[in-house]
Amino acid sequence: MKKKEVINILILIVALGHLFGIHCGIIHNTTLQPAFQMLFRKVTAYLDAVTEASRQEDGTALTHLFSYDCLSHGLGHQFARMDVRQAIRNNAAVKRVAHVPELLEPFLRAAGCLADQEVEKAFEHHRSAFVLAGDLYKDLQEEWLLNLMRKLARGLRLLAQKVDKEKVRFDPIMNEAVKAISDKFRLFGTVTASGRRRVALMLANEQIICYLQLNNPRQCKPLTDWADARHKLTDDDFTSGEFAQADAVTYHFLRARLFLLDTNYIEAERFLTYAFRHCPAAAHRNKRTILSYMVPVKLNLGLLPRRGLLERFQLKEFEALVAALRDGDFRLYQEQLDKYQDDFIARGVYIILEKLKLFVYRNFFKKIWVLKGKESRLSIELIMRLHQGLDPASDVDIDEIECLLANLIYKGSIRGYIAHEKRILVLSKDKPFPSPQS
Amino acid sequence: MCPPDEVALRESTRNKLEDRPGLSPALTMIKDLERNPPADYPTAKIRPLEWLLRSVEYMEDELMDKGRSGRVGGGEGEVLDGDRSWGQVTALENYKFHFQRLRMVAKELIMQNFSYGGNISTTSIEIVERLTRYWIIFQHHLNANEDFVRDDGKQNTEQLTNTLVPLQENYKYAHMLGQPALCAHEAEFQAYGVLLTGDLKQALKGGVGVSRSPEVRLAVDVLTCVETDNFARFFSLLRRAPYLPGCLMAKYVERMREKALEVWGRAYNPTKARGTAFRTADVLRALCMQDEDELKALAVSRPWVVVDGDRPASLPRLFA
Repeated sequence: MKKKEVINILILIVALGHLFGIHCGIIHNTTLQPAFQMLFRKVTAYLDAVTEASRQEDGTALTHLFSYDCLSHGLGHQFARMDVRQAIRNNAAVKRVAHVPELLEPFLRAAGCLADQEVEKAFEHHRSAFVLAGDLYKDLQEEWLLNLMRKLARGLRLLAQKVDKEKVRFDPIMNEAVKAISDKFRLFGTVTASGRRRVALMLANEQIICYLQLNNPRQCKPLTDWADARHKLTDDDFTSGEFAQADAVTYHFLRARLFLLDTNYIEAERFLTYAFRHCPAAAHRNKRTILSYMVPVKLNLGLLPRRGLLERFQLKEFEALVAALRDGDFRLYQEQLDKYQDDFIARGVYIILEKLKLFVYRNFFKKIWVLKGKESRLSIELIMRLHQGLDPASDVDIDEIECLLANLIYKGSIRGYIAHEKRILVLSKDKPFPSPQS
Repeated sequence: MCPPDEVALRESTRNKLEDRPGLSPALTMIKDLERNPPADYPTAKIRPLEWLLRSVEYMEDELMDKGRSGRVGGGEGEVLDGDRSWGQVTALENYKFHFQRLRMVAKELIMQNFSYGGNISTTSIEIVERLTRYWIIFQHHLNANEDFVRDDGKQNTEQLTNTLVPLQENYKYAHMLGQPALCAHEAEFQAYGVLLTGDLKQALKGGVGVSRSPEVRLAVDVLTCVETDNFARFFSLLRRAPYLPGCLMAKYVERMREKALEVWGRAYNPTKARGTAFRTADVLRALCMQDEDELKALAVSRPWVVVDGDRPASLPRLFA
């Protein structure tokens, strides 16, 4: 084949490629690849995708396009250098789409600031986009705007987290994020129309997460009152389809965490059970997170998890703990608490697990009682010697052993009393170690 | 330690602690608190860091011990100037003197932007660390003084929080700047944060390894004892705790003693009719009490606790 013919064929291929919208190295049409899988490198390609998604009323694609992940680093820098407003105005197609240009402007400015590592400025622009999305939803009540609000609210929180991590400020910027979300919550939360309640629940969730991160759970009271006292939301409301399943599950999970902080384990267990049951099976990571709170709570109520459950969700931190609790192995229990201490404290379950240590000791004392032929009198000094033999490095002394026994008697987990002068534990002849559930 | 214009203004009305015989007022006077807003404060009057540190060191070395027993002088054999004895103050007067001047030191640090991500230096961090320690000591030494508790206790706690929180932020900033040498005492102060707030999550603040430091582990252990009613371990930790953590643990002592009495009442008495006798010395040691008077004071609100001279104390036996 002559060289000239080869060149003509190549020109024909490229022309056909333009006809079907294929550019070298970039596929940019939703008919060929969904928008939520694309990474954009050119301004025109991005704006065209936004126009196309708006025309097709593709809410999923539109929501994704308002995500920093779909913009390449180079594109972000381009937005930082250019006049974003002018660029949007210059794009005839996107200019004609209702409302989208107004939302695009602050969002793209934020993207530009992020590319230039100006996270605080990015936060300011992102907040403007969020506020605007909220105002638009109030007027239009379109589903894609609700999803967009959810995405922007989450993004606002994550940006605030990033700013507070990278900068030392007198007042964490997370407070400003909460204020912006709270303003919109007040807008939607006072109305009982179901469309508004959906948004309000989503915004309540984001606020609770912010307050938990600020370590200020008391501020969540108005939000829980909104659900309990004002709207009296029940499980039926949550399963009726009014609320997005993701929001309902998140709400129950967050409420459970608040109950945990109040040491109300019964309500925490109820809410965690709802969250676990209604969390989709495919959301393995979310189910694991819920379980990581549920296991300590259920242990506290005297319920041990099955080993298979812990293995299936890779809850390694609880496998050895549960085994130690069952066997009265205080040394292994303490080892696991020490190993995962930071993790347990961060989740807020450390104290629950420390309280359970008393029951580890209860099982240990019960084993000694069985080994001693179930005698009704046990020497506390003997218990101390056995404890020392099993864990010579421990700093637990005989006073502490006596204190543990006293606490178990006080709580009713051991029936008997302590003869202090002789250091003897006198056990009841009838079920001296009642079952934990009772 | 004090600008010349303030020396001239207050010379005739200076505080007793600034009236040292044989020394001129310019050497002994310390700048008092000025309440005008920082924005209105003339820059020329702000003391540089080295002066601030010198003022703080002088107060700590020469003045803070005065008034602990309300007695005169700082050391044995001190010559009094005629019939004027310097520094004769009560503990509360001593506190108020230092409170004003140390607050001024803190204010001048803020005016020079030594907080919340502004300037940072070894000296500024050292000053703030000292201030934090002082507020802890004052709180502990005066919490039995009714006037202090009524009028100044809340303000002192506020100052302690207002010093500790920026200090923790300073450590964070030092780590961000890659200057871990500025955080030599970070573990100590994170531990104070845990004990002061009663919040275990404070243990996770701080650089790598701080949460596993002996200081923070002690604080976590103390809070765990309080939450799990392990009073034996709590008092054991109190007996061997260093001084300042011990001062902060004091706020949990009453709660632990009450819990101990409550639990003992149930665990040591097989029936409501009989009681168990304890040696008074055992109870005093177990509950970290100093003397029988303290036990009697606890017994006043609990008529069922009998303390009777050499006879052992009987513990509560009528708990329902």
